Amino acid sequence: MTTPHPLLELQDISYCYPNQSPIIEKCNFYVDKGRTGLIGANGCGKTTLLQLMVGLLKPQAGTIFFNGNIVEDQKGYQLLRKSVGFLFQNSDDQLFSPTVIEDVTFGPLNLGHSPEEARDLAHEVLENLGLTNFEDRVTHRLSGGEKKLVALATILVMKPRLLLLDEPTNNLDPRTRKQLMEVLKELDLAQIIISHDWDFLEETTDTLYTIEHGHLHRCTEGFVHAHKHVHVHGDKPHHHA
Amino acid sequence: MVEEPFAEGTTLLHSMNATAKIITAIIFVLPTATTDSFPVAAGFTMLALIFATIARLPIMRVIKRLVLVNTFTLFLLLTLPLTYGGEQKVLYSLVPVSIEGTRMALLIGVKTNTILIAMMALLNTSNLSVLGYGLEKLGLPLRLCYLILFAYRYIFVIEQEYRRLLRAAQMRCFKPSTTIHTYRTFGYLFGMTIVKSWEQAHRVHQAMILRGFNGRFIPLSVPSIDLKSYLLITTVALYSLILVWLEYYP
Repeated sequence: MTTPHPLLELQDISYCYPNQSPIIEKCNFYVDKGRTGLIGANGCGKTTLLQLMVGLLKPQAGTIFFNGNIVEDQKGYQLLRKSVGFLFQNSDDQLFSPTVIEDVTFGPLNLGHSPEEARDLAHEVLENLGLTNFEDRVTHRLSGGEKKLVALATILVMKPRLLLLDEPTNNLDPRTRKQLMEVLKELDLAQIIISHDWDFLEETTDTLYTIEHGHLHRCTEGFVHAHKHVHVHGDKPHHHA
Repeated sequence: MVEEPFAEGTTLLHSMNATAKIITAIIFVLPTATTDSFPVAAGFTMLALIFATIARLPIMRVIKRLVLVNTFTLFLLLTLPLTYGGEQKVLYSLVPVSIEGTRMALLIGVKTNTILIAMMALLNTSNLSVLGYGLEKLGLPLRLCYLILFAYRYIFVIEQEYRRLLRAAQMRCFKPSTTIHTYRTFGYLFGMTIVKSWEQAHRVHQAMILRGFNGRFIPLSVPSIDLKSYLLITTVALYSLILVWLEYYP
């Protein structure tokens, strides 16, 4: 009996930006199920790693496997992108159609669905995210939080098996952040989440990795502990969300 | 992000097939641009205004765009009468003004505005992906469609980046004047605008290819070529033929 291959596997992947020292060195990593968090200092290579996974950057050494098959040319990456969704750090880079419905149906139309099927898929996803009335809204007039959720919708509508999220809670207000957390927890697909938000990662991921000197390290389990913090009315009894 | 304010609507021209509208636009533009007669140009102006009325173009928006282009025609109006030659008429005993030049400048002005209004009504009433699809169906190579449509889209991106940077400079009390500091600042602004626009374009391109884009435009809904498309093309073709006939055989 052949062992099933992991969905995505990186073997000895190395990458360095032009005229700089290597940012990722002989990295070995695989993802199949479950939610993985990726944390680390700014510039340590977290986004680079994710970009290598989807082919936005080409590794200088090493191999990428998708479902056990080597990915090395455009065709391979195009196949990979049907199952791997990438949520950018900045939603403005992700949304480019005039209205929400057009942006959400962009992916399914490219995958070969008919316009009617694409619309139905879009309706479904927008409903699941609580964005039913957003269909004809103009994308660049949405608020930051709304843009983030719409950007997520544009990815989820393609029904990926793996979701890569680059600092999803950046610039989100507490309410939208909570909404995003609930949505991600309910999704039944593998996720890799880059974040500096420890609490967010604690709630949404099972394992945590960090990148140091170009290598991936698994972090030990976190412990719940108290922090001192300040805000107005701090002297009265209160509850945090 | 591109604002396509004219593309939203439910009039006859909005729901017309894009390929038919592109063909109509071509049939309209060729005789209009080449005519040398005022009455014929006026005839095309009338047709353009009819298109604009059918498409219910918002008047203020149209005027704003026309004003922008007419700065160019104004420039022509100021220079052609003085430089064209031909029959001269002396104004105020000082300045020789060419009648031919004035006529030419006015004619260009009329034709420019006519073509612009017609294009707004015919081409702007479909959004980008539908137009791309229409161009593709006409047989234009994919790369050319891509270039034309994205050039249009990225003008807005460049404008947005420029405004963002200018605002940043103004927030730090920048006031344009005739100093080296101003020239250098504008140099930096223009340079940075190009760099940032390129990077933004690159990121959007990445977002598109990550969602399966491969150069082909797939619009959400495509109005089919039907009777009214053929009627539009035929009517405009006949009208143009009649006007051109009248020009050469009055």
